[in-house]
Amino acid sequence: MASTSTSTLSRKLILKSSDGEKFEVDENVAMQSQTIKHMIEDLDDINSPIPVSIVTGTILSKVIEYCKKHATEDSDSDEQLKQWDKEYANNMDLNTLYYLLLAANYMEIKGLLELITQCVADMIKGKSPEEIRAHFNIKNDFTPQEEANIRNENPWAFEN
Amino acid sequence: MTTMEDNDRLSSLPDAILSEILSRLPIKSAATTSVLSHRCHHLWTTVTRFAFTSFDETISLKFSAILIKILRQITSPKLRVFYLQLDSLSNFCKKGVSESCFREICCRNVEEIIVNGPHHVYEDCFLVIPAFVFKLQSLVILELLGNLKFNLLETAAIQLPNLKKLSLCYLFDVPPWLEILIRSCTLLEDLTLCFNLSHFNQPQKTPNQFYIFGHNLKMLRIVMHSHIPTQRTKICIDAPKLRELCVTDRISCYHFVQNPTGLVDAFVVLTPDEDFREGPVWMDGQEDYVQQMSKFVQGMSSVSKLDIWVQGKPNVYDYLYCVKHELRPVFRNLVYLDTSLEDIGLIGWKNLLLSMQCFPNLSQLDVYHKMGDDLPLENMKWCELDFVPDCLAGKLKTIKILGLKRIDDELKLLAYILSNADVLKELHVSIGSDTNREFSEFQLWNECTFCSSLFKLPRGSSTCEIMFSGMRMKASSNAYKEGSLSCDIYGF
Repeated sequence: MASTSTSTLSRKLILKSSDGEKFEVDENVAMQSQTIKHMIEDLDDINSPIPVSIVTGTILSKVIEYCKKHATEDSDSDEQLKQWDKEYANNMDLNTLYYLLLAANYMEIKGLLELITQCVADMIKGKSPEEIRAHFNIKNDFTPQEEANIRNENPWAFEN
Repeated sequence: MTTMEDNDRLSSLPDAILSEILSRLPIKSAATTSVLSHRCHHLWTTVTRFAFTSFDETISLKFSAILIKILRQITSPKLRVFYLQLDSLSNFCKKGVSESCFREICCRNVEEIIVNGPHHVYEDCFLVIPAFVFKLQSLVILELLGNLKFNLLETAAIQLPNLKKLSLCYLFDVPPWLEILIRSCTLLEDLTLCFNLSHFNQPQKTPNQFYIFGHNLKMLRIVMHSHIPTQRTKICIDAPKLRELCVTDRISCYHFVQNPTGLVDAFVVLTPDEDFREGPVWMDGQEDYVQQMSKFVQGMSSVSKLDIWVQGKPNVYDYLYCVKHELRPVFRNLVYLDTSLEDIGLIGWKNLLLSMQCFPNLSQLDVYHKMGDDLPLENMKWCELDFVPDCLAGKLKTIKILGLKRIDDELKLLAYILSNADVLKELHVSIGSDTNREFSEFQLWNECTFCSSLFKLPRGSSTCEIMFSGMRMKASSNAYKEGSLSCDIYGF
């Protein structure tokens, strides 16, 4: 674990979003992203902004919020942290969740990716195909015959 | 924002992320998504986790009948988790089904295999575990609950270098390869073994000694049942990093090869299981066995919480306290003792209190008193003690005594406790259900009388509250003033 309380001052890094917004963060916060970790290794001058090319400022600030919370994990118990994660994910609309998924995937932040995929999975769980389509706005591009055939491939999945 | 929400964001995500989402769903929910759209049609077959749970017998039977067909649709080369929780294993156990299924998942470098049958229902089928499961280099967790049988002839074939958690319930004997298996899994941290030695209604041959060597073992649970007298196996535990130990076994004799100095929590049940309650199996060499088990408990001196369930005499408390000072174990961290004194009566308290001399920092004590009707009268006598354990005088804040019968000698015990416990904050006293045969009015009257006598007893701690709970009433000493008792009455 990166130490936050020792006398050695944590280095600051500057992250730059796709829309040009700059964020100054502690190194141990940013290092939760495997992608940034690898980028820093190749970097000569850590004072220059690190581009997070596909992530907008709005989403990046949310990602940083998550990383900050998880960088100082010794202050909270596992239980408290889980509760925080739950509230964090529950406060997002679908649109934000979608961009967060992409960001977590691109930045390789394992915990965040797990949290958001679980959150989306929970939205699918126990719903009928019609309910899932309605929730995520998925257009049914099957003909009734095609749909019937697919149901017949795995009838067990559609039984109550 | 609304215009953006109109779009189907989910379908535009990369396959890898969608597969990750579907892997977090039970397999049935994942397969349901095949009908959503062309884009989703085959995505569910890329899951890396296969999980199915049902607590319904019919659904369980139907699902296991088609399980192979479903598994073969999975296209991902890597299946991380295989989790099956069924209410009946009888279809899964059928010849060919479980083996094909294990073969299907083992060739995908599975990391976790969890197959759980029903917990309490007796099933007349055997879950046969093929030998190749024990050669899975990728396996981290293996949990099996059913009537287990193993096709393990060559112990040399065992290769589970990454196994961290192993749970086998139920085994019908102590197979010779088990010891080798445990020893060879060098990363093993969590081990559960449940034995049912009388499954075939005939005595099983058990080894003289069973050695559990786990250099990294942190958690160990052993349950052993038999309603037929069996030879006592000596179970030797060599696990220096053990933190949690749970033993429910009155057949085997236990021994620490080296005491686990980091043990935090220990749970030792030496009373017969509820199922076998009708005829407890008393085996030969009781005295010697109890002495060895006391020594085993002495080796747990680092714990902060200890649960000990004993029945009859002799029991571990008869030998826990050593007269010789230098041999006496000191449980410095122990703050909570939860114990039972079954079928012993009040005479069991003497050695319990003596043993408490080894627990200088005990702050909570729970004692479950269960006394059968056929207990000799002299067992119900309280004999005055000429000593007071240090923890009773200076540390104990909460004491709970459950299952009393309301006899006068119990008041003497309670008087001893109340007069000597100088820092006690709460004393909970509850009456056992075996007084239920009386007429309810009579029972209420008797409980009120007992309760009043209890509340009148002199207390060493002025701040101590006594909570009495009977079958017909409950009351607190805080609501008891000048001889009048206010209580809640129930059960009429």
